[in-house]
Amino acid sequence: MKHVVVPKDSIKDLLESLMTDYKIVAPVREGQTLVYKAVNQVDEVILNDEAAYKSPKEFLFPQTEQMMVFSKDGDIRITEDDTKTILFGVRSCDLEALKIMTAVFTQGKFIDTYFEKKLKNTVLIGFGCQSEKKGCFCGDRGLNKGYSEACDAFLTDNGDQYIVQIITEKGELLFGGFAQIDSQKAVSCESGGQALLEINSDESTLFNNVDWGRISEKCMGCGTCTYICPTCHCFVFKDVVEKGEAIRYKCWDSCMYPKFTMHASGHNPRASKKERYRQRILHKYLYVKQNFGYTACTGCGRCIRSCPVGMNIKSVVTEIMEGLK
Amino acid sequence: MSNPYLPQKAELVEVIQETSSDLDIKTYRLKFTDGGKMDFMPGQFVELSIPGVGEAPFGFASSPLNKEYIELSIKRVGLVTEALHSLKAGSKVWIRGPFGNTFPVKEMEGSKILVIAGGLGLAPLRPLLLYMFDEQNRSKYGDIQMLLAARGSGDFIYRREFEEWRKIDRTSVTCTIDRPEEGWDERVGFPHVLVSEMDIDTANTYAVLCGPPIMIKFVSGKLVELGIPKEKILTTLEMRMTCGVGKCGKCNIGHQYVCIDGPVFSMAQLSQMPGEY
Repeated sequence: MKHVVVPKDSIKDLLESLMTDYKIVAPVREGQTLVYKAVNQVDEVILNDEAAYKSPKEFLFPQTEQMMVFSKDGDIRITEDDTKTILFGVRSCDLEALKIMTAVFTQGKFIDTYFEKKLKNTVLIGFGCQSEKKGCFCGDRGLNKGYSEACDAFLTDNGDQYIVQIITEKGELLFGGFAQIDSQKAVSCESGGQALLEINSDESTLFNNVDWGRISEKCMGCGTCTYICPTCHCFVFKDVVEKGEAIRYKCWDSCMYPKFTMHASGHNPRASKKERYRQRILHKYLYVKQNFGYTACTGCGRCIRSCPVGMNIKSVVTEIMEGLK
Repeated sequence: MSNPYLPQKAELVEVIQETSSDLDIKTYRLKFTDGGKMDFMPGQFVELSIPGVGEAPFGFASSPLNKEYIELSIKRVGLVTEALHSLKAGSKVWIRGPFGNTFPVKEMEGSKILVIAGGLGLAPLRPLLLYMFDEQNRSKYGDIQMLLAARGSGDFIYRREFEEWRKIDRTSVTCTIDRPEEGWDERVGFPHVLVSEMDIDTANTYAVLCGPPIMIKFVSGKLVELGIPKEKILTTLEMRMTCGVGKCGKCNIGHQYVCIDGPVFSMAQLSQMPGEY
């Protein structure tokens, strides 16, 4: 593995030079919060130790993504997006989340070609956290807040410079020109350890023997947690008619909403909040693990920080495991 | 890798009114245009689009051996089906698929087949029936006994074909309705009651069920009681779904997705799955 040193004042020049070929998405100040946005001026980029309000998942899986157009003359046009993007300054938790989302969208008999294409056209540049923020629990989920290999290159703050670990050829293309240093002298680049926060039980026990009614009691079903979550990937298609053409969009959907599973007949397999909350927790902590080998929660803490009634997934999972002992 | 969300254009060539009690169930015969085609096996489904309205999943209702057209039998119940019911022959729709698993037609060879369907539940079983009825295939299967149920005599679908089905070698069709009706000379009563009167070779039978959830529950319970192994009692489920390809996250029952792991499940599988469907 190759390490290079990038003086902090060179980062902006580097980004500036890349802006002609790439859309650069990086942490930017918006009001009181930090968000990932397409950058117009490199001066907007903020690389500090703050946690971004939202993850950058929307740049691979947009909240509303145009898929195709049914034209007036009865034909169909696939909407193509060939934008080359650099996702810059992505934290370990969100890189892990993209790894999970990549499994869901690109494994199996069918592949989501929209996601796959965006991923292929994206360079992922990670950036280490120095401190755990309020609500964060990536350590409990076995992640290292300071390092992840689920990207093309990873930046670690080292005073007046960044130490960059180059992981892939895409990373080499961006950082290969900087001065290499002896990897022995580089900052510790170990991936995470054993995940402590896991649900280890079978589907039937978890589904039936947990008091989901009580656990979900204060949830309002607003769905904020699902929008803010870096691993939530459920969607719905919506058609919009504009100027005689029908445009089909793929839009984020949420398992917290009653209509998510409601049949046209009115029958609803997840008719109450209890069933919907159970689905959210078990999808993250069990079903994705059964299907793809990953627990779909990276401990980013966003749902905890954003919940209007103080639901806390970490305490819920802890309580479930305690209850099953 | 091809885009699994991209549909093919099809022309509605014929609309067949099924139910006479109301006009809510129709069979749509569709031909792919622009050289499109779709090979499928019994049990699979498609996503049908009406641009500007949306898309919804429907099981194939025609024979998989028919390469000329496909048929879908559809009840008017939601947005897409409402729009579909207003379309006339000659209209164009968009279809993608086939999706989902299939009835285990190979494993079922050599067995007797018991088909129990309620109302529109007969639609996703018709491809299996027509497949087994085919001259090339009929000898591979034992006796085919059908118990077809509907609320009233006007609620059967494919009723025009029953006489033809009865003429097929080693095939019987018993029809039943919920309550007596004037002029009705077949059975009256619920399938789970009538099934215990049937002569079933439980050691060598595959049972295939589809209908309202309550019917599935009672009939499968009765069949297990009679001695048919749960592995050989098959049904097909429906769920709200968007993608049909295991991505959108709507149709799961526990970790299994009805769109890719189903829609055909055995009672042995369902008994291991959470009861959330």
